[in-house]
Amino acid sequence: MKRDVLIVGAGGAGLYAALSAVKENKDLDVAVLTKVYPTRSHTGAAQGGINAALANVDPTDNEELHTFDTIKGSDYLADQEAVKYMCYEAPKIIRAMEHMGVPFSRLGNGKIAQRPFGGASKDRTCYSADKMGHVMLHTLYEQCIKEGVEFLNEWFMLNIVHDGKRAIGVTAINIATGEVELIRAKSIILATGGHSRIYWGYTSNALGCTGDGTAAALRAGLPLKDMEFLQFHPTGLRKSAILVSEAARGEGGHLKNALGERFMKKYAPEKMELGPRDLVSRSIMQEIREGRGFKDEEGREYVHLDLTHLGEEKIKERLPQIRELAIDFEGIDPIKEPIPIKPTAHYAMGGIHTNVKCETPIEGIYAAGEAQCVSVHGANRLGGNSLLDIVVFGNVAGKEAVRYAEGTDFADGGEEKLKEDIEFINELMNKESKETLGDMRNELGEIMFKHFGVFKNEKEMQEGYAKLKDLIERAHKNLGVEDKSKIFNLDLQSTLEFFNLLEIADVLAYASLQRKESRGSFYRDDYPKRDDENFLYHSMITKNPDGSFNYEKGEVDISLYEPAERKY
Amino acid sequence: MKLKIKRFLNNKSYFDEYEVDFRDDETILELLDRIRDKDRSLTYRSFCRSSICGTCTIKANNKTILACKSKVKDFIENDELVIEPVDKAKVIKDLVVDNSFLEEKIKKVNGWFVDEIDVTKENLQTPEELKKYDKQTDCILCGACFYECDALEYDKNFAGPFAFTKVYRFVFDSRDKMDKQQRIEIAKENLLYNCINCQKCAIVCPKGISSMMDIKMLQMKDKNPPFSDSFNFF
Ligand SMILES: Cc1cc2nc3c(=O)[nH]c(=O)nc-3n(C[C@H](O)[C@H](O)[C@H](O)COP(=O)(O)OP(=O)(O)OC[C@H]3O[C@@H](n4cnc5c(N)ncnc54)[C@H](O)[C@@H]3O)c2cc1C
Ligand code: SF4
Ligand code: SF4
Ligand code: FES
Repeated sequence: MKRDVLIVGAGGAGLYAALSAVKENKDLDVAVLTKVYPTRSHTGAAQGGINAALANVDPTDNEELHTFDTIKGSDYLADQEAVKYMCYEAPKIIRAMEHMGVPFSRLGNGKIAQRPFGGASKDRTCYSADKMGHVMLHTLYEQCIKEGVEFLNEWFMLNIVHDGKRAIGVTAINIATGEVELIRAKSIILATGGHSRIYWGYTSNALGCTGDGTAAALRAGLPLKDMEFLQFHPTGLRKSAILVSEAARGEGGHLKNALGERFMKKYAPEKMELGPRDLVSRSIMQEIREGRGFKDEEGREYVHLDLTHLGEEKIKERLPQIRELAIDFEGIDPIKEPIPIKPTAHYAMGGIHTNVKCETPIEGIYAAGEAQCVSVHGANRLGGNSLLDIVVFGNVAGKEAVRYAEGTDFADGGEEKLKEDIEFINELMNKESKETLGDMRNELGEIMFKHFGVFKNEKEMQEGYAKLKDLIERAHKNLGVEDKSKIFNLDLQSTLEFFNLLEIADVLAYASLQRKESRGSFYRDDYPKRDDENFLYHSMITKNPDGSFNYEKGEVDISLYEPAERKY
Repeated sequence: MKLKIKRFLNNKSYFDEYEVDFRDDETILELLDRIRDKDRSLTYRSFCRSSICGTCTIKANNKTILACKSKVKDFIENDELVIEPVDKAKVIKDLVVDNSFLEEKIKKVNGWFVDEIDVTKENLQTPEELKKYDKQTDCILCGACFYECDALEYDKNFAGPFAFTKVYRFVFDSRDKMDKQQRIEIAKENLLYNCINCQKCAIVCPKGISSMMDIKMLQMKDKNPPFSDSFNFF
């Protein structure tokens, strides 16, 4: 199979890239390859909204303030020109999506409504009740169908193939048949989403957010950037870790400890519940650590998110999905009772290193979306900035990929890699499993949450890293595929996803140990302060053929604002 | 409890039977996950596990449901739970069915918004105007309505409940620039009037959408109904 532009991933980033690509040049073959049906992609789970300084609610808002809030929120690790680009594109791309049919919630005067969100100085978050991602994903999908984008649904990408200089294609399994193929492409866009599933059981993410593209990039010798930065969202449901959107606090929800105190007054006296996520998550964990949390019969510790004072009407109109989730997954109606919540692993700031044009160091290979790290989120992403990032950079990637494909031919080679992958799969299929995949995944989640969680320190991390290494070794020795059929083999797929998770967890752990400071989402008890002198850099990691890591320091663009202390 | 799961591979189908306990708040998806930990060849789709992605549609004691949203305790009858793939779609393996009809039907009814892109200003729309079609945008393409629809028993060319809900969503969206009657004519080519009001779509929809009502509203808006003399609304 051959396609001019091959986009891997059908979330917001992949679909926007596809749309831009077909609109840019109708004569090219543009295909989207995705392991799940496009509208299942995790973008659909995004609830709260998307940021753009439209100034519809607060006329004093503008792109510059959005830029500054994002940089401050990032704890000064974001690349400032890149942030500026994103924030100035924001109003345009929101309006473009409005004209594609996204059903934004509206103000009385008919303009797009905006709500307050954590870490933002103005009411800037555009929304569609609490189903922003869902309506974006479906709208973009419909527009892709309209424009004739080709979909390769339920194909699983295994590896990225290049010749050291330029893209050759990707290897992928057609899940329905089990056949492994080399799909040649002039340009490839990796839009494979995040990897928070390394915190299995402690994450808001869908089962498939396993960082496949990021792990494949690492195997292909591409650098991963800022992998130690993974954000914990303050409000996951107690039992399932399913997300309760920041919109709940944006609309006026209160966080309360077991004494009934709005404890955020101690940690962020001004912004209270609307402090940035890293700060609110740490505050919750601090309350729990100091014994002011709740504990249920199964030993789960949590605090309360209280919406009861908002009243039935507001909850039903603005937060209907959150109410449905609380009822379905906690058995609690937020109109009547507070919701039990705890922090949940949520968003990967780190990912495949690219520049502002979404280029990786290999020609013809691009990345966009949560899988990518430009970086516009630095050490901590603000709520509502990811949906923005994925469409802004999806758009860029689509155009750049077309530009490259127009000027080049298909590259030769890659047969070796295909053979290798087929052999690897056959081996896995023939191996008897000595351990249970489900148990091993849980073990990974436990290790990561305990040792690389909201609070970290050297001792905990070293212990955790040893456990992780042991798990990785056991997985490679003991894990095989039990389902022996070729047709729709999800056992094989889950096993491959698990190997990807292990690879990512390894990088994350390694990168965490190198950073001896606290910045944004990355917090160490033993180094509680930010240290710009020694650590104001992007960590860049590549993997050597022997499995060891190369660690380099990438420059941070601080050309617009001098790093300052963050206060909320 | 006795749990029966219908299996299918290479044209062979059979039931696996298990004796299992279940937690009071356990979802059917969680129960299936437990079984799969023991038999990893058991195949079903799941993704978000929070009823927003529409992946996990199956049948439990003959009702079409989202496995992740449905509690075991709400579906067992006589201490038995029978899990099967949904109807009206080709089974690929175990509980996994072919869902290519989704894209196909959206294409057939022109299920997309039509407008010129203008990055300098947005369309205006009041909250009241949004309300007219807001509910319909909740559809997660889970297909439950399609798998249950009686009209499809008679004619496979019926676009299906969710597809008409999409048409409704555009016809009643004040911003959409395609001619409303033209949208309705396309819906008619896809057998808008074949709905037999069985209500099944409304009953199964996990998002509380009534495609039946949407179809009725489209029929009422039709300026050129096929049998205007004899047709009686409601
Ligand atoms: C519960 C939740 C709520 C959120 N709410 C908000 C919010 O309100 N505002 C905000 O700005 N952000 C929010 N976010 C973050 C935001 O939703 C995500 O970061 C963003 O949607 C990621 O989009 P994406 O296109 O990069 O990836 P995804 O939407 O995750 O898509 C990834 C795609 O890659 C494909 N893929 C992956 N691996 C492979 C493979 N091996 N082979 C083939 N295909 C593959 C998948 O099939 C999928 O189509 C939220 C996140 C979560 C988890
Ligand atoms: S009411 Fe009409 S559309 Fe709905 S299931 Fe019955 S026949 Fe199908
Ligand atoms: S209308 Fe309801 S049942 Fe039908 S596909 Fe949409 S969400 Fe599912
Ligand atoms: S797994 Fe997403 S709807 Fe059930």
